[in-house]
Amino acid sequence: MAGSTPDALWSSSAVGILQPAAVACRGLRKRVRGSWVLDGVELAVRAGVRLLLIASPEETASLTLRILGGLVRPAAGTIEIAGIARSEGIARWGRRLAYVGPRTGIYPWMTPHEALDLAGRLADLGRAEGAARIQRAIVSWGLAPSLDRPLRVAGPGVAERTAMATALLTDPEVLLLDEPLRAVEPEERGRLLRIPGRRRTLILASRYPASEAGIVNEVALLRDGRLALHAPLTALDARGLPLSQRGIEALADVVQAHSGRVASA
Amino acid sequence: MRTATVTWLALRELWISFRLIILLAAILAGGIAGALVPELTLDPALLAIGLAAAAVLLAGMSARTLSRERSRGTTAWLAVRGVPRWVVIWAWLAAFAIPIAVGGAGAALLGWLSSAVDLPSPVDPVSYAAVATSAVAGVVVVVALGFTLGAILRPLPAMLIAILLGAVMSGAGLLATNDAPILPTAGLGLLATLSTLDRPLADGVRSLGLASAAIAVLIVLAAAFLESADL
Repeated sequence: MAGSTPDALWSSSAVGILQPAAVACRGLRKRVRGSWVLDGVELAVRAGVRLLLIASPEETASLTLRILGGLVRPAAGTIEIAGIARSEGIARWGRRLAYVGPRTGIYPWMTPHEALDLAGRLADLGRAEGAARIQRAIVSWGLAPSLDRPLRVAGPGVAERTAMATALLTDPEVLLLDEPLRAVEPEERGRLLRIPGRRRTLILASRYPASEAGIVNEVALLRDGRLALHAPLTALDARGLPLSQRGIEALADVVQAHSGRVASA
Repeated sequence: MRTATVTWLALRELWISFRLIILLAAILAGGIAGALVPELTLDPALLAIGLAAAAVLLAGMSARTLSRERSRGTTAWLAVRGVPRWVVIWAWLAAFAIPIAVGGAGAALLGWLSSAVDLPSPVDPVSYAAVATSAVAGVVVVVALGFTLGAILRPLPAMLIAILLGAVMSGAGLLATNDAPILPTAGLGLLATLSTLDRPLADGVRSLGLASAAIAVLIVLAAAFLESADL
């Protein structure tokens, strides 16, 4: 599985047509405080998919994203992001992967402009290209009014927008979002999270599935450390179930009762 | 390039949080005290004691700093941008070592001006520089120990254990009066007993070598711990 998708494919527009697995993990296991919170998770997310990931217990979804982002080491299992296996070194994921967690991780004394400039330098974007991308990010994420104000003064909403803007500066193939933009007005949040890019894959962990309507097109449920459901959002509509934790769990029960295994998208 | 960027970031964080001033003041305190009240000593002992006390404080500060960087997500922010974790450790070591070196040089100069010239058996400047450099390197050893603890422990326990171990290491270095230095913090003891040394240059260089090796080992250890840590 390692390196099964050639680099050239990810550099071409064919990704949008062929839709290879942008994120693939097999046999993912992780033990926390003596118990297996992930116990053999198998998940494949095709390029271009916008996946809502929820879990029971809830914090498992965050943990899974941090493992996929290379921040937490799994006890076992393989992970492949945009054709590059974790075993090849997570530094190789580089510009193909971005992760934004509930803590922005940006120093509060930084201004949005400084944070964007730093992200550009760390990504080796080059002066001209970096400046152009930063300018686009400022416009897209509405950062102009607070551009030179320290984040601690500008507030959590600006800090979260800045975190998103720095994450997208490198135009990543895979975007991992853990409860993003919670300090932003719900309507504005929904607009901002409809991130353009047909080939971009989004995995969004959320405790409030209903708030992700219109942003995601697939849903996955982790239950008791395993993948209990992975289905298109239309499967919920087809059974008249709401986009909520209860609705998704009910769909997982129905699908498992019918097939005896995990539903696949 | 990335190392320089992250080091600059760490220095700015130290500056904005006033820790850089505390760090410089702690290092310079012994030298300034010796310069202001030269009758307190006929030896640079006061400078050595000041450096040892600074080392204890800075061990706690370095441990807490790295642990906080992990817990508040700034290390994760760098890691997801492809910055290797060892670069984070190296950058923070450099961010502490640069002001320690600058402050240490200032303190050593003050120590020389205030006391070394009055020693019963005069010490040549090169030997004094070697011993003073080894003492400052001893401080960096204790700071590196703090980073090692900060890479695996939470901020408060990391800070407390680093202060405790830093006090033991600094105290042992200060009190060790062997013929030849065997501790990485022995430079502090050499500086405290400068006038009694038979071969200050050789002892200073040897102590500096020991300190450098200890710093290397501790930083490799810290990098290994941070590599396996969950961010």
